[in-house]
Amino acid sequence: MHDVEEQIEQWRNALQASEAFGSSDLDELEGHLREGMERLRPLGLSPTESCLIAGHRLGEPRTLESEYQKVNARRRPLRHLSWMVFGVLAYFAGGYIAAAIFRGGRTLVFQLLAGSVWGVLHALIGIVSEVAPPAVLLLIGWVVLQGGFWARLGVRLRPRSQYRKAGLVVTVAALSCVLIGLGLLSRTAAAMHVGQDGFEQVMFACTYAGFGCAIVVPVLAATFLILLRNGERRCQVDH
Amino acid sequence: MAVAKDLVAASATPLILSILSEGDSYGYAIIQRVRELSGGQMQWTDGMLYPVLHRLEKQKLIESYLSTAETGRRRKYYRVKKSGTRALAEHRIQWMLVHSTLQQLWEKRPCTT
Repeated sequence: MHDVEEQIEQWRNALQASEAFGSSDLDELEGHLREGMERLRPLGLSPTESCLIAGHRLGEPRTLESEYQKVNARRRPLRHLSWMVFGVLAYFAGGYIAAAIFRGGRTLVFQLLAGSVWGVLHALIGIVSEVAPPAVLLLIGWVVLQGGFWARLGVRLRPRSQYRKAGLVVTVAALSCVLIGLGLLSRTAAAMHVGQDGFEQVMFACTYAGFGCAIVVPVLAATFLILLRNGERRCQVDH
Repeated sequence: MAVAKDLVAASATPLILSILSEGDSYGYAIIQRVRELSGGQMQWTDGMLYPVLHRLEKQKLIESYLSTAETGRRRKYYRVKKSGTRALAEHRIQWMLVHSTLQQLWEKRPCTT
């Protein structure tokens, strides 16, 4: 039995090498293969033999590939574009997260040295509120790219899936703005205890970081979604 | 007797739409139904069905959903949409036209082979 599972996996991997197949396409084909194998079993064939015959009935990998390529022709460039946009987003958000951790970490060390419990708490809140929004946005972007995630959930999301995803990202973007606001408030409160010179410095950092995150991240997320949806629409028009 | 490739390709859409209008179905069952109706004469390569199904889905003639079968396996089922029923009616008129035209010709001159 183990052998035949390995055989099925090899068959799947051979198809997976081509970009013509999406993961749901492969699931569907594998289901068909297994069903064909089950029907062949009463004939007295071994699992390995029934796998070979069911695979043959499904068709030559090369022919399958060319047929799927015709249907999924637009998926490839669209997917590449999605990854590129995600990469740009990750670059900005990653840079922002790193800067926030560095800045917040420095404040945290100062507060620890000063032995102020409130100061440490504020510094921690500051770090979390700055890091969380871009991190969550990145996670959402990743989930959107991994189309199989939705299929595995088993929810009927097509063809409205794009709208739901868009709704989800917009909600998270709004939530991130609220978090940034809270971060600003808590850090302002923290800055009140630092004195006039420190206050100005902290405010400058807050404004810079808050506005940067509030503008850049949602704009990138929106661009990403618009590109994704336009691409999807073009797919439907073409076929 | 093997049916010519072009004819198999041309009849795929009306066949799928007709089978799905009998009730929701999935890839393997559709293949089996075609095999059964044609007395095993019309054999599609199984894997060729899915690109056609996906194309029909993109044309919004059919839609798919995931459902768990009695065996516990998750299957992708297809169902025909309203626009699919309309498209099938058009296909039907065209095929009946071709059929009756050929029939009239062949009734006059029966096939001797």
